[in-house]
Amino acid sequence: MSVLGLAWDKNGICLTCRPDPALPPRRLDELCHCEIPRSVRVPPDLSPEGNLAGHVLLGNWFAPPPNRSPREQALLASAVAEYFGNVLSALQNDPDAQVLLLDSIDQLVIVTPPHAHQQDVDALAKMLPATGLTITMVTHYAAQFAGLCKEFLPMKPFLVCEWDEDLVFHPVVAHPTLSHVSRTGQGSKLKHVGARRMQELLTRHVVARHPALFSDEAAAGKVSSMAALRAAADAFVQKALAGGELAFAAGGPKEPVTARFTASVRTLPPGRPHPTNGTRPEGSSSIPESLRAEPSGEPWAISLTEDEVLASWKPLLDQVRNFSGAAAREARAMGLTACVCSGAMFQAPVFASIVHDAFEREGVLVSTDSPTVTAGRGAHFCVRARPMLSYDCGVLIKLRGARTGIGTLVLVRPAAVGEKRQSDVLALPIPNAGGALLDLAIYLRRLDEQATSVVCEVLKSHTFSPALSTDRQARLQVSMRVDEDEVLGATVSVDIHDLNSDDHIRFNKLPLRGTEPLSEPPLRDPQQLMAADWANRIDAIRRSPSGSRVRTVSDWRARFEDWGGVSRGFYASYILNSAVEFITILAAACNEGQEELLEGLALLGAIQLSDPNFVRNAHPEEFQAEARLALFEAMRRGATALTGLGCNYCAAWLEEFREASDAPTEERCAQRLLNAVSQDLAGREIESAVVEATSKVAQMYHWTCQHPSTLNVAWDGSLD
Amino acid sequence: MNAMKHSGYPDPGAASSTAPSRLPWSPQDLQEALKVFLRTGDCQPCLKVLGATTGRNPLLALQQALRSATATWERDALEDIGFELSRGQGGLGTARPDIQDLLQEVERHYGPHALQFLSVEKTEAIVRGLWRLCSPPPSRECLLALLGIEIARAVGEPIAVTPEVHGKSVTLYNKQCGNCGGESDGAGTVYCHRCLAEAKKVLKAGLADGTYNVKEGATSNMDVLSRMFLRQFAAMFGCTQCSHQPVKPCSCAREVEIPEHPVLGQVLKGRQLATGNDWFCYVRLVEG
Repeated sequence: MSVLGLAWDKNGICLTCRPDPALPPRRLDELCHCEIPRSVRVPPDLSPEGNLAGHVLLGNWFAPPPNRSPREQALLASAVAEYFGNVLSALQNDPDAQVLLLDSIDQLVIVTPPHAHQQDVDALAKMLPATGLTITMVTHYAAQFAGLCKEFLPMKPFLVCEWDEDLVFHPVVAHPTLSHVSRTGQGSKLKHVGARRMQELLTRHVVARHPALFSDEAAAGKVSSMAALRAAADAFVQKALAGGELAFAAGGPKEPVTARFTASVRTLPPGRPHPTNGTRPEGSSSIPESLRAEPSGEPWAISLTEDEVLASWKPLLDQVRNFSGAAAREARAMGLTACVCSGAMFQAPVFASIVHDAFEREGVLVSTDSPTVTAGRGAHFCVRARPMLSYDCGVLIKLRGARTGIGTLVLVRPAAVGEKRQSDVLALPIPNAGGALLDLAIYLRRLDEQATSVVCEVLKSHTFSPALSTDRQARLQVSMRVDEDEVLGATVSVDIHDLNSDDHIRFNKLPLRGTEPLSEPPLRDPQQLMAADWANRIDAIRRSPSGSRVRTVSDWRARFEDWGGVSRGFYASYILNSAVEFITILAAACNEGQEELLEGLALLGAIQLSDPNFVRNAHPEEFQAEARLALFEAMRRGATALTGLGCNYCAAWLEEFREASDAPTEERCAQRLLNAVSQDLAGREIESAVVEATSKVAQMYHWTCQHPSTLNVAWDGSLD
Repeated sequence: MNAMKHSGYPDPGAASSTAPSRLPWSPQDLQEALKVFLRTGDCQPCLKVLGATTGRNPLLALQQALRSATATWERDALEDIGFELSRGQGGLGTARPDIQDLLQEVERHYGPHALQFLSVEKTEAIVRGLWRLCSPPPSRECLLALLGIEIARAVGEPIAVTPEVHGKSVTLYNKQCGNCGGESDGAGTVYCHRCLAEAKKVLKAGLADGTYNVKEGATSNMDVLSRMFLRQFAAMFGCTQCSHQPVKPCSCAREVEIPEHPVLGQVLKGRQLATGNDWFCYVRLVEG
C-alpha cells in the first residue's frame, strides 16, 4: 500500500501511488496538489546555472556512457541523494500526500530507463538506503509490462518496441531482480524513421512546394534560407514529438511569419514592411536569433496546415505502419501477447497511435498511455506492499427490513497487521413493532477514485436474533482486528459480542472486498432512528405532485396524517392474511400437527373479523380486541405445531399462554414467540420462512395492542 | 543488489523513519469544531481548522483527521461530515435549528402542556436524524407539524372538538368501560353494590306501598330504576365498604375545558373525575 512509484522522462518526474488496492495505481498529481521539488541545487561543475531539474539530474545519472571524472561522479551522487531526500521530505510533510500514501512511505520503486547501465542502477540503490526505505529498482520494460497486465509481474517473455531514430522490436524476459531484462529470440529493426527523418521529409516537402525560394542553394542568400528552414523544421519536429501542434510555420530573415493555417506560400515584395500584430506563431519563435538577425536574402514566410505536414511524413508513417503490422503478426506467431513501448517517438500521440493500432489489429496488448506513466503505474505491480488495512472498516446494525440503522467506524487506515479496535456499546432499541431480527453489515469505507465522495460497500452481512435486555435493547460490541492471509494480504477478523447473552459471532479473515453499496450511511445515535420514518414521509410528500404546495404547519400535518391511511376492511384483511400466512407456512413446514393447524384456519374464517358487518360497524376498541384474538389464536396453534417438532422454546411459550382465556393486551407475548421461534429454528431449513411469517404476525400484534386513535386507520369508515 | 528486493516487506524500523509529521492543526481546536458540528450541523469551523477552506481537498483533509482521531465520537463526526460533503451539503445548507428555540415555538403552537410530552433529547435526536437523512432539510413548519404528531402520539388520547364546544367544559366517558358501561349507559358513574342492593330493596318496598311512583313511560327495569334511585337519594345510603360514597364518578370519567380557539394538536389538561388527577388529551378538530 505505502509504495511510491517514481519514473521520469524528458518532461519531468512522474510519481505514482495506489491509495485504493481495488483500483490501478494513479499519478500523484492527479489526486492532490502537493508541492514536490522540481530541481536541486548543484555545484557549477554540474550546471552553470547552479541547479538542475530532477528529471535532468536522473537523466544525467543514467546517461550513457558514464564518462565522468570521479569528482563529477561524486558530485552527481550527492545531488541525486539530496534530490531524493527533498522529494521524500516534501511528501512526508504534505498532508494530502500523507493521506494518499497512508501516512508514510514504506517502499520506493524507481523505474530505471531502458538504457540504464547495471553499475549505475547498483550505485543508485546503494546510495539511497539512508532514507530508511525499501528501495526496489525496476527496469522500465518490466514496470511497463506489469502496468499493462495490471498484475504482479509474471516471468514470461513479452515484446519490446523502441522507437527513436530507428524502430526496433525484440522479445525480452524480465530478470527476477526486476532491475534488468534479457533479450530472447530474434528482433527486427527499421532504420532511419526518427526525428531526423521527419525533419528531412518536411524540409524536402517545403522545398518541393516552393522551388523558387530554394532552387539554387549555391546562390547568395539561399544558403541561409535553407539553414533557417532546416532549423525551423528541426525545432518543429521536436515540438511535435513533445505533443505540440502539427501546423508548421517558418520565416526567412528579417520578416516574421504572418499567416498560419494557409497552404500557400507568399513572397513579399522587397522593401515592403510586413505587418506585425504582436503575436508570433510558435514555429517562428524557435528560429535561432542569429539566423533571424542575418540580413542576407529576401524575406520569406511559409506555413503548412496539419494535413500538409502529415502528408509530408506519409512515407515514414506508411513504413512504420507496415513494419509494425509485420512485427505484430510475428509476435503473435511466437506466442507473445503484450508489447511495451519506449522512445521519443511515442511522446507524440499521432505516432504512438500508428504502432498501437497495428498491434491492436493483431490482438497484441499494448499500452495506449504515455510509456513513462504506464511504467510509473506498473511499478506498483512489481512489488508486494506491506499488508495493512486498505479501507476503513465499520459496522452497521439495523432492524431487518429497515432502511437505516446505527453504526460506527471501528478500524481506520493504516492499521497494521495485528492492530485491534473495539466499538463502543451499540445499543439498539427494538421497537415493539419490529421483530428482534437484526441485519448486521460490516462495511468498507473509502474515498472514490477522484477523492470527491465517500463510498461505502458491504464487506459482510449477517442476520441474527439478538438477546434483548429488560428494556428491550439489543446491546452489541464489535471488535475488529487486522489479520494477514498468505494469499489475500491484509484481512479483517470480526467479533460481535452480544452483551445481553454473552454470545459471540465471529468472522475470521474476511478479505477486504466490497460487494454491494451500503444503501444508507449509518446513524450514530439509536434515537436518531426515530427520524428515519419521518424522513421517508417528508421525501414522499415532496416527491408527490402537490408537494411544492405544502407549506404551512396545517398543510404538513394534514399530509402526515393522511400518510398510509387505510380502510377498516384493509386493516382487517391485512391482519387476517398475516395470521393465515403464518399458519399456512407452518402447515407446509410441519409433518405433524397439520390437522390442528387446518382447524386453526377454519377458526380464523369463523371469527368476527371476517364478518363484513362487524368490520364496518364495530367500535374501534372492539375491532382491536377481535384482531388480537385472531392473531393470538394463530400464534397458539403455530406454537403447538412447532412444539410437536421438538421446539423447546415454543413449548415454554405455549405453556405460559395456554391457559390465557383472552388475547393478552401486551405485545410481549408475540415478541416472545418470535424470539422462541428464532432460537428453536436457528440453522434449520425452514428457519427463514417461519421466522419471517412470525415476525409479520408479531408486527401485526403490535398494532392490535395500540390505541385505535394512534393508527392510520379510517375508523369513521370514510375509506371503506 | 541486496536492497533490490523482488518482493517483501520493509522492516518495522525502516517504516519508523518515515513516520508522519506533526498534524497541521491543533487536536483541541478540531475537537471544539467537531462539537460545534454536532450541536449545530455546521461543518465549516471543522473544515477551517483542517485547512480545507483554503483550497485543500476537504475529503482528504477529513481522511487525515480520521486517522489521527482516537475517540469514537470524533471519528463518527468526521465521517458524518464526509458524507455531508459527498452529498453536496457541506454545511452550505440550512443549519440545524437551536433546540431550545424550537421547543419554545412548539410550546407557543401546541400550548404550555405540550412540552411535558416532548423531551429535549427526543427533539434533538429527531432533528439531527432529519438533517442527516433529508436533503434539503425540512422547513420549520414541517418540523412543527411532525413534532405535533409526536406529541399527540405521546399524549395518546385525542378529543374531537367541534365548534359547538369551543369555550365549554366537556365531560368524557369511555364507552367500553367495564366498570360503568360508558356514557351511553351508566353515565360514568360507579355504584356501591351493597348500597345498590339496599336501594333496590327500599325502592321495591316503596313502590309496593306507594311511597314512590314511576312516571308513565319510564323504564320498568328494576336495575336501572335502582341506580336512578340510589343516585337521587345517595345521602340515605352509604356503608363502610364504599366509605359512605355509594355513588362515585367512574375512573373513566374525565373533564376538560375546551379553549375558545383550539388549535389542531393542542395539548389540553383536564382532570379525572374519580381521582381528581390531571388528565391530558390533544385536540382533533372536527367539522360541526
